[in-house]
Order: sequence, then structure tokens, then C-alpha cells
Amino acid sequence: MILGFGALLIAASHTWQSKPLKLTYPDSWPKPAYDTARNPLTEAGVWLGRNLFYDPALSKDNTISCASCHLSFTAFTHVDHALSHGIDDRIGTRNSLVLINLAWNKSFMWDGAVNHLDMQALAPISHPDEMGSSIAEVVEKLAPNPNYKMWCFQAFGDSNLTGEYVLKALAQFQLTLISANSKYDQMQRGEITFSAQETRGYDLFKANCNSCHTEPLFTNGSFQNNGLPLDSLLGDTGRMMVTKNEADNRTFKVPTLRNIEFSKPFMHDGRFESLSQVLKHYQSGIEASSTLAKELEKNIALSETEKIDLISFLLTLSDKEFLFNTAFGYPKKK
Amino acid sequence: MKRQITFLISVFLLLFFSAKSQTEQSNFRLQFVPMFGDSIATTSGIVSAGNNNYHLSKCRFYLSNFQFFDADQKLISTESQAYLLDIEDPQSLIIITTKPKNATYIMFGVGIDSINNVSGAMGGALDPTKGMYWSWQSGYINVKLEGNFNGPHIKKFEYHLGGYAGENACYNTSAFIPISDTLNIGVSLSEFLNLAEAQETFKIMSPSATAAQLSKVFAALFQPLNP
Repeated sequence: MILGFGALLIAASHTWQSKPLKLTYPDSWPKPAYDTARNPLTEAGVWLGRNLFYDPALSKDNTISCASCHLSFTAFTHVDHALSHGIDDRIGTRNSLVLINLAWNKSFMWDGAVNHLDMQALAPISHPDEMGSSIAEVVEKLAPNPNYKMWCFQAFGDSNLTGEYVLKALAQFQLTLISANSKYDQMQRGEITFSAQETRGYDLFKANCNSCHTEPLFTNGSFQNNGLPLDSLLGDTGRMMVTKNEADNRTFKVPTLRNIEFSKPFMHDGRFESLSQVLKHYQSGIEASSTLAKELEKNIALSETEKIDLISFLLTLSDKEFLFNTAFGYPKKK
Repeated sequence: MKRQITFLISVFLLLFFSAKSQTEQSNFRLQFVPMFGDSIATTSGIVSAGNNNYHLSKCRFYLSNFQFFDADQKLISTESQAYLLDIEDPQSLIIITTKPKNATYIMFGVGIDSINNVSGAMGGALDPTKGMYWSWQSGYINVKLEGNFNGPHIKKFEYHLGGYAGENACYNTSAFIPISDTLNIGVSLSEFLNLAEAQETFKIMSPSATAAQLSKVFAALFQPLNP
């Protein structure tokens, strides 16, 4: 009797187990920070996560989905919006971050308040200026839906949608958002060569930017004060709001520069509209303070030509295959 | 040679059976009883204890990592499961588990340990839909205690105790508690509230040194009730 039940379980587990997926990335990259052993990627899991990502039912009034502020074509950020807005046209206090190569992130949000990709989605779902709902409300709303019941069963062998499954599936989808085929990557693999201008820009990058925007992910994951004058209206002290430590005053997560051509506006509050404004800040706009990043104590001296060279390098970080990958877009019925 | 083999087999058998008898288990029922002084705490009406009156509106907390010890206080086994206890759900205050036969003491974690705070989404009692997880900042809320002091002081209280990192870590273990066949463990909420009131802490909503200090107080409230 017990044996029979065991056999039944094994048989059942075989029927629902969907095709496992492996994260693919260049051999030269470090190991991902995300432990996929705790949440093994499967086709069905990613599909469930992708549907959740594009579902406005995650917001209180069914108007805002994750994709509202994280669009695939714009490197998964809210293009043209300095501060992202949510339900009832409420405006938040920060510029939405790009969702690129998240498997390598050790902490999340501009201030690192979230310690795990799984738990990141709780913040926008619950924030009154974003989706204004709660994970309990989302699960209650979606669990009776027959599509979600089926997808959940295919993904986790259990048709009862739970908070755990919603968060794990969203993480699975976001883990697949890997950008590793930009012109820069192709150059690294020896498939193409940079132009003379791009090469000059790359050298300038390595000399002036690489210590924080470290290759190959173009971030070292640290929190830094890059000398932006405090916006007195927003009064955002960054990571200090989480750690309550004065040493973290006005420090923010170093964002990746991958696909930066498509992820404007820039900085945590979206104050800069263009890359040349960003470079101008590093040239002459840095405000000294006790928490300023050591590397920025001296302005970065760049001639006008060097600025253009550096920008031409930054444009090699655009990955069209990533930006226009239909597997990341709105899920059409299978 | 044959003798040696026979000897080895008997040693194995002996080891096998002694190991088996050590891990022999029986069902074990733990009943947790939130108390105000000598009265059982409830969320209906005002409860008096000593000179103080309280109205409780919420009392939920996590217990985890139940450990069993023998008479010499040597660890026999650990059960890593977490339980969410809620005063409004009487069934949740009863934990039925198995205990090793020679277990003499029990000790358990009050709250969720740091490893479970940094390991991503989990199910069951740890599912974030249970309302015991902060959304704006990662981490479980180990204890939610809300209500009013209803005299002599009139004051609202709201304690959300949690935090797993560094000095703000709020996970603690209970005292060693001697085991009887069925065990009733009192949780003296009035002791906690009187102390919090005396230090004029009425609201805690995020990890802090005070939250860590009061979490130690909360973990010490668990004491066996005299039958």
C-alpha cells in the first residue's frame, strides 16, 4: 500500500516536471549569486513568472503590471520617466532600475533594502505609490484562475498558487533576463573589432569608470555616493535609510551600464536625461562630502573629444538581441 | 575468520539496535498559552493582571528549530520546521511533533533564524502571504503584538519585532524546558508589556537595537505552566 503510493508519487512527479532550464552566460563570467538549487529553473516556471510579470492583476486596481515600469525594449526600465509612477498616477521617489543580469546581484533596490531576488517583488506589489496591493491579495485574486492553476501545477507540481510560488516564478523569469551579446561582448569573444574611437573610449572607461562599473557586469554591486547634490524635495539619503549608518548617507547601488543607451533617464532620481549630462556631472558637478566615493575626490578630466569617445564605447554595451528578445515580451497564449 | 565475521555482525546488529532505540520516537503535544498574569490572554475584551488592564488585538509569533536534549542537556535532535502561532487561531497554539524517547528537555527558537531570512521565498508558515514579512525591506517579523494599555495608563501599543543582521538580530532561543508527556508552556505577555511600558517603548516597526533587546525579553517569557 505504501509502496503503491510511493510509485504513484513518482509517476505524478514525472508527468508535471517541465523541461529544466540552465542559465547560459559566458564562461569568463563569475558564478551567479542566485542559488538556483533552491529554485530550479524550468520552462513552466519561467512561463508562469512571465505571465505574472505582465499581469496588471498584481496591482490593487488592475492597472499596473511589473512591465509598466520595466519595459523589455528599454532595458526593463521606465523610459522617459525620471520617477516611476504607479496606481492612481501616484509618483514614487526613485527611478526604476533596469532588470539585467539579476542572477549576479547580491542585493536589490537602489538602497539594497532587499536581500534576495525572490523577495524583491514584495516591495513594488505592496508600495502604495506603486501597485498598492499585497502578496496575500495577489494570491487570493489569481489562485482561482484556471490558467494560473494549470501553470502553477506545471511549474511546481501543485495547482494551489501560493506566495512562495508567485515569488519563485517571478524570480525564474527575471533570472532569464541575461544580456551578454552586446558589441562589447562580441569584441571580447574576438568576433568583431572595435573602431579606433570605441577603443579610445574603452581605454578611458578602464582608466576612469571600471573601478565601480566593473567588467563584465559593469557594476561591482557596491553602494557609493557619486557626488550628486541632495535633491531637497526628495531628501533621499539612500542606503542610510536602511542601515541607519551615517557612513552610508547618500550612497546608492552602482547600477550596471549594460544597455545604457536605452535606459535613460539616469541616476536614482532620474535627474539626467542624456549620457553627456552624466559625463558632465563627473567632470565638474561632483559635490564633496564625507561619504563621497574615494575615486571621485578629483573630478574626472575629459576633453570634448574624449567625452565623445567614451560615449561611443558606452554604446557598445547595447545588446539588441536582449532588448528585442520575444521570449521576454508579453506572453502570447501558448 | 568465521568467528571474526560473526563477531563483526553482532557488533553491527548491536550498534543498529542501540541506534534505533536512541531515535525511537513518540508523539508529543505542546500547548502554548499566552497569559496576562494568571489569566489567559484573549483578544476579546479587557483583561486585568495585577494593577494593569490590557486590551489585546493581535498576538502572532514564530517558533522554530525545536531541539530535544537528554538528561545531561546533550542535544539529541533538531526539527528545523517553523510554526506561526496566532492567538486568534487556537489550533495554531498546539504543536504536535515527535520527540526522541529519552528526551528530557526541550528548547526552541523564538523567531526565524538568519539563514532563513536570506534564502529567498519559502512556503508553509514562512509564506510571505502570512503577513509576517516586511515588504519594503527583507526580513521576517518574528513577533506582532498589538493592542492597548487600558489603565492606569491609556496608551496604544504596536510591537513588530524582527531583524536578522548584526546587532539588530532578533532571533533568540528559549530556556531549557523540562519535558512532561503533554507540556503546557505559558507566554507571559503582561511581563513583556509591563517592561516595554516602563521603558516607554510603545511602537516598533523596524529592526533596531530596541527591537533586539525586547526580542530577548520576549524569548524569556516561555515557561512551563504548573498543571
